[in-house]
Amino acid sequence: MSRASARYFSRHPWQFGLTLLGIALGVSVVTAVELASQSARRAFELSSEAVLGRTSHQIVGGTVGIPEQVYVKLRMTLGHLPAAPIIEAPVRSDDTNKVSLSLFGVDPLTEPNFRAYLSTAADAQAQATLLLQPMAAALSKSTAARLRLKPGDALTLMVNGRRVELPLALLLSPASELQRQGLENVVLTDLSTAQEVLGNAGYLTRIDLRVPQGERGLSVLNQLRELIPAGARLIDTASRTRASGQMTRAFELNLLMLGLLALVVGMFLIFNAMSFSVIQRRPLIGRLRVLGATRREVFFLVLGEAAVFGLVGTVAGLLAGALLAQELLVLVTRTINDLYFSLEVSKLSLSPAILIKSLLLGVLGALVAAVLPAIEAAGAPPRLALQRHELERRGRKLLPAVSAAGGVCLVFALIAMALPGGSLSVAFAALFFIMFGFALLAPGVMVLALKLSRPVAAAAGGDLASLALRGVGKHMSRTGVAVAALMVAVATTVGVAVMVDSFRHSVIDWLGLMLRADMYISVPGSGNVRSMAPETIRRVRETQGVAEVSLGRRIFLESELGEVEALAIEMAEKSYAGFRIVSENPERAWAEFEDENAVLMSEPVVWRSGIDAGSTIALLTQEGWVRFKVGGIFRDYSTDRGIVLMSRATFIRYWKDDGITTIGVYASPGIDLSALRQRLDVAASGDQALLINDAASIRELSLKVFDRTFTITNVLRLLSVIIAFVGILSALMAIQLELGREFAVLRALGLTRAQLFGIAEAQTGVLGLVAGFLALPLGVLLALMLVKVINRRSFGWGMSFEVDPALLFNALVLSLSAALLAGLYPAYRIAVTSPAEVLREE
Amino acid sequence: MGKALNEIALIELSGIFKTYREGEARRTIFDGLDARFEKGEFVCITGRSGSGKSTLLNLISGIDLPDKGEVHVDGDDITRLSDRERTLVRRRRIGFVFQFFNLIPTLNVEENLRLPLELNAKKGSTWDQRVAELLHKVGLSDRASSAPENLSGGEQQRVAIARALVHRPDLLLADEPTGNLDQQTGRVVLELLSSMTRETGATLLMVTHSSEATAHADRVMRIRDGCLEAVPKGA
Repeated sequence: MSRASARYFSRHPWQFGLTLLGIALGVSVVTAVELASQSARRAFELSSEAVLGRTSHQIVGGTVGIPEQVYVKLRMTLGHLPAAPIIEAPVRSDDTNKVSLSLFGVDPLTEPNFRAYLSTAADAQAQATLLLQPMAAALSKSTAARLRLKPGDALTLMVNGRRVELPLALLLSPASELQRQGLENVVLTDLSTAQEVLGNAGYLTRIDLRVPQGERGLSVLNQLRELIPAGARLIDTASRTRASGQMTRAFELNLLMLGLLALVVGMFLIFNAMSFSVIQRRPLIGRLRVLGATRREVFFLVLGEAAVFGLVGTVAGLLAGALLAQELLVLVTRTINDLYFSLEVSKLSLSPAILIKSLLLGVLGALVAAVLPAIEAAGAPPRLALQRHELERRGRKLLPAVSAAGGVCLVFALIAMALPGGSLSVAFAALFFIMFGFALLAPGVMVLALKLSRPVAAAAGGDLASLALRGVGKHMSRTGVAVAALMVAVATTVGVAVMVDSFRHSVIDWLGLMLRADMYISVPGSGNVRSMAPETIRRVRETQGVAEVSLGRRIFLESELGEVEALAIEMAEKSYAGFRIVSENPERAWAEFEDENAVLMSEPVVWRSGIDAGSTIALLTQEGWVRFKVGGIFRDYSTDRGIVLMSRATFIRYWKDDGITTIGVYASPGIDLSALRQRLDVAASGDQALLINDAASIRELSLKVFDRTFTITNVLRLLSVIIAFVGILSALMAIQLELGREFAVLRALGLTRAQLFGIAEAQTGVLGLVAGFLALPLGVLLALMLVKVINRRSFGWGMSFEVDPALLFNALVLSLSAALLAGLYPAYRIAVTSPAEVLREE
Repeated sequence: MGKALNEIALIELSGIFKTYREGEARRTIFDGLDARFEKGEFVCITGRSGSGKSTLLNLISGIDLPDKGEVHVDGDDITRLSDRERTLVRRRRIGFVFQFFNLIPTLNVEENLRLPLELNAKKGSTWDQRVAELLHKVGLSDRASSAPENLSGGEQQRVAIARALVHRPDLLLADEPTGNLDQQTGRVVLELLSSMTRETGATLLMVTHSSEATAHADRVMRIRDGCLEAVPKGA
């Protein structure tokens, strides 16, 4: 039996090939997404692990950091406790590549207690070099190679807008993968060098600690809590690392879902191929049954075939997935760098767990898709053949049940949406139910649409048009699945495109609203950057043509939710209009904002924490933990971690810090902005290189980052369409093979090759149009889910929902062209096949 | 000058050489076959399975081409025509009846009949009239809107005969039209085919194994060893 089955597929290599291609593509996309996300996550964990070393706790806090005295006091009080003072800040190489680096200032003598890279005897010299050579820096060999530097060269950095040169004193040779990852893109210096570079003398970023476990540890922690000053906080490093890793969770989940979607489309393909192979082999199966094969044996024969397909396709998919993952990794890392934190991922980590999971997914997917065709095969009566139209008739009988199942899926989706808890996974489950529901409804709707349009087609194109149209409906068991697969793929494209478009519109509106000032002056860099000199601020204020300025300080603060980004702002009169309050009563929100005990929060913070307008949030100030009233919620798309907005007066009062990192400049009416820009260049010049941008260039840059973020989404969308394309091609090839005799008869009756080609292409065109039209409502529904539910549950963002008719039209064109393109080869084969050959075979 | 118009046979094959590939080897079907079929005659063609009976019909209809030789239809050598031109000859001048009926399953009876008319762009009021007339002749006026799958084998073949004659072709090619029918039904179909063709004045070439069919024919030819030979009637 298996030999007969193997021979069948060897005689239909395209069917075999396209099925494998479908599985391989589906599996490769899921594997690639998982591998890329996991590699990024692993790189993050490794670098966290390498940077944290044996650190169990940290003392963090303060807008400028921890005063050095805290460390001194700690050593005096708890001399036995391993502690390492650390300065860490993001910097950038000042070469053409502008590589993001991390400046890591350490005490070479205490480091060996925490991190291994300076602990070996061979590195004693390294310790001495860092300690003794002024402004000495060390890089790992691979980082130095990337920056094209050798020992003795000057490493030029841009730090807080200043250009700093450090002699590269030594290269570090990491002893393990962990160390290598930890030292990737790290500029290692002595503590004092780092303080000088950052202009932050007397302050540390944090103090790493190794607190023993058990009773003793608890008593040490109590002692530490008494020691640390009001503005500092003792944190458990494991929970902090976990929280950082969680930041990208929603992003990864979104990618995974798009990957799974590709697999679902691939499963349609398997279903199509397996059911076609069963239908085509019914005479053979009938003969096997006559010869004594049981239903059970036939059932397992088909499942066995699917398992072989699944296995071979999945193995190919895993290989392709590993290659694709390399490309996706670049996109994933870039997005993480754009949206979350600086991350360098130098290599793909081929996790065996992911590979095994993908293997199981591929094989099980193939088996699940083959269950119905296997049941169909097992049900074949032991006769030589069953007429094809009998099968189609049976299929049409089943149509109401299939459509009803589609309806049930949609009801499940509604129930899933109504479930309390607002879980993202449940939202995705609802999304998949909606897709399956529509896929099951697709054949029924297709048959109905064809029936309704037949008179029109017959009136316009005569019996040939009618012939083409009926061919589509007649072979519903083939065409229905192909239409469903294409519909799902095109709907995904519509859904994601509408979501991205809505998001983009919302961001554009937001940018237009927020960027009220004519010019923005800011300190370059991220994190808690050094503030501008008061003299610079004064000069900017007094520049001719400057009507008003807003002063801002963007900073990371400790909160009860962990680290949060905050913006302390002294508003200009026009600045208020730049924030859209989405909670009730905006007037009251602004009144609260001016009050020194309240803050405003952006939507993601509310989503993440559940803290809503009217309640309070605890922030760690220089006076210790203080609860601030949440005066209102505002819309902000600058970060998906959310932002806390407070008045500068509040910030100065509680954090004793009057630093400024951004100035919004409002020009006087009628002022020539380019002339103002030149005057501001002069006013802002000095020791610190500041960035001056007009609102338009910031808007442009923001949208560039936005578009870059969605590159990976577009790649995954495209892959889904390619898989659906393979599905259509496979279905059409199947139809072409099956209808060979019918086409030969038409040729015998006098249809020219061109007419036959036209009929075949018209049929694929009809498939494309039906799929396209069905994809529009599904796509819009998916977009609505993505915008109003998934995005909200992932990131907390609210956004407007906009459907561009041009986008829908493009989707229709995409569906039609994909089908017509997929139909070209089968149509060509139909046209050129010799009718004599086919009729002779008869 | 060539032959006078009345001397031109409807079909004339000369020096036909035709082989088929069978794996690595080539099998010769016709080796210098010559034949001539006159207008309005009914010729039965017999021969063993695989002797090339159907191939002969395919060559005459231009569905297939000989490796060597000429096939003249009403004086024109169709082997020199393009695929499209051969198709147009087939469309206008030839009707087909197959062993397995080969109705278009997605068209109903009436639409199957209209298809050759539509291909020949013979539109107008006579169209429906012609279809109705033929359906009446084959006794299926009441099945005009039925799907082929709902007809019996004999009914399907009657529709196929009507379809083959609806556009008034000069030549009807029938490939074992009774081969898939029981004796009684086969007899009815044969009667119908013979009488309707004679009525239209078309030439009928029928490939058959049936001795009953040969009894209806004007001539009987047998393919043997790649050549066509006359068989005395009743032999």
